[in-house]
Amino acid sequence: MYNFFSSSKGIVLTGLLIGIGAFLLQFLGNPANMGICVVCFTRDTTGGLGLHRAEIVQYIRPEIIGFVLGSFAAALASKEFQPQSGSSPAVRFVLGIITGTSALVFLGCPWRMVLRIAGGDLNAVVGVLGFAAGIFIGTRFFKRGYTLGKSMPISQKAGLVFPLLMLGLLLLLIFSPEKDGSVYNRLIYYSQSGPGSMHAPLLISLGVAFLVGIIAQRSRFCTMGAFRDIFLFREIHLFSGLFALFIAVLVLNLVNGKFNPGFVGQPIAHTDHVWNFLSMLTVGFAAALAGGCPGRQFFSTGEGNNDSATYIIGLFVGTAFAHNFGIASSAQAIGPHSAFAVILGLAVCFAIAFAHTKKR
Amino acid sequence: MENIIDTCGLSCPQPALEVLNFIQQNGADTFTALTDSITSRENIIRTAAKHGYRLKHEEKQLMIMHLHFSKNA
Repeated sequence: MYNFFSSSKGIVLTGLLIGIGAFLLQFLGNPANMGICVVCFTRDTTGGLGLHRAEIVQYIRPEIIGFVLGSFAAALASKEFQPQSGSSPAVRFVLGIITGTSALVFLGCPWRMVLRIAGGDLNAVVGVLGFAAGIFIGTRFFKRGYTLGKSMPISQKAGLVFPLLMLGLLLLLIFSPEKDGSVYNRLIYYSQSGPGSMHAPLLISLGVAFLVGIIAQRSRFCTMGAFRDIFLFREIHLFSGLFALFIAVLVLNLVNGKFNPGFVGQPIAHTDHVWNFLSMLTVGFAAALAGGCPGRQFFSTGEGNNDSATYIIGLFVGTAFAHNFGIASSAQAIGPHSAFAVILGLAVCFAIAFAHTKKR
Repeated sequence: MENIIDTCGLSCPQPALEVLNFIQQNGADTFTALTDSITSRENIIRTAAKHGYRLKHEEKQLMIMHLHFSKNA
């Protein structure tokens, strides 16, 4: 079956549409330069479930749910729902934790990194350099024979588990709705101030993310793959999608007077260049070792990939750790344990890479 | 004997990398890549095309796609 979205034009259209979707969500209430942030929204969801108690970042983000359900629908419709698992799940769990903690030192996933630059936040340029450097390190291990081993087909029912979990989160949102002035609402938590309190209407967030899930599944959109394929194959296919996303948001920001270039005073961002660079280097390295950026991992769960689901559960745990253990940065500075967590994460990535590299 | 590269079960980017390594080290006129992933299928076809190979034909046996490539004339 011909798949337009995996063509050269299709991946560019995917990037443009994701960019427009991200801008729309930001316009309708999501935080600045955070129309879509996969890790931030995972962190908010973790907080919404009460797994961390940082009161300004607690909200079960419908975007996370929509990503998985959209991808699931697209995979079912295209007969690409092929559940599999068994490729070093515990290692992938650890890589998810490292991604979650390190990305929250930078204050954003690779998607938000691009949205931040498109909004004029030059701190994120430092982040991109780190992200690319981390992926480059990962590709050196791939060239030397790095692998987490083969996965095996598993039952269709097992592949349904993660989409069903997302459906469960949606039911929580529907049956335990936000009440003004109340952080805790019988079951789940809702921020009353800070980034977690800023969100587009539920159905719009869910709908946009559902569409993003569909086209991202069809196009295989991946921010890590964008750089990895340049380093490994001299191939710009995925990068053209990422670049299109950047251009779409940049143009929309310029037209709407939302482009404010500079380092200081950027929304939900700090100016510590060393840790912006090193944290995103660690994110890039971990994502390369896991085979996909956080967004791509979410979309893979919709295809029934339980290895990606294990990574995402690690991401949930990592974002909770980030706030429980003083790892996450604030807009003023990095956290008291940010530096330790990034260095530890980087060291663990190297350990995983060396341990799973067999000289060809 | 036919050149067969079995990439089943491997996650990205390893299937395409296995094909690239084969092309660079072997340079055979024809080869067959096996994969069980549609994403890997697309990556393999893209990598092979970049190095002068086109997909001659393909067939699916159980869950495994057999991709037969030959060098462009």
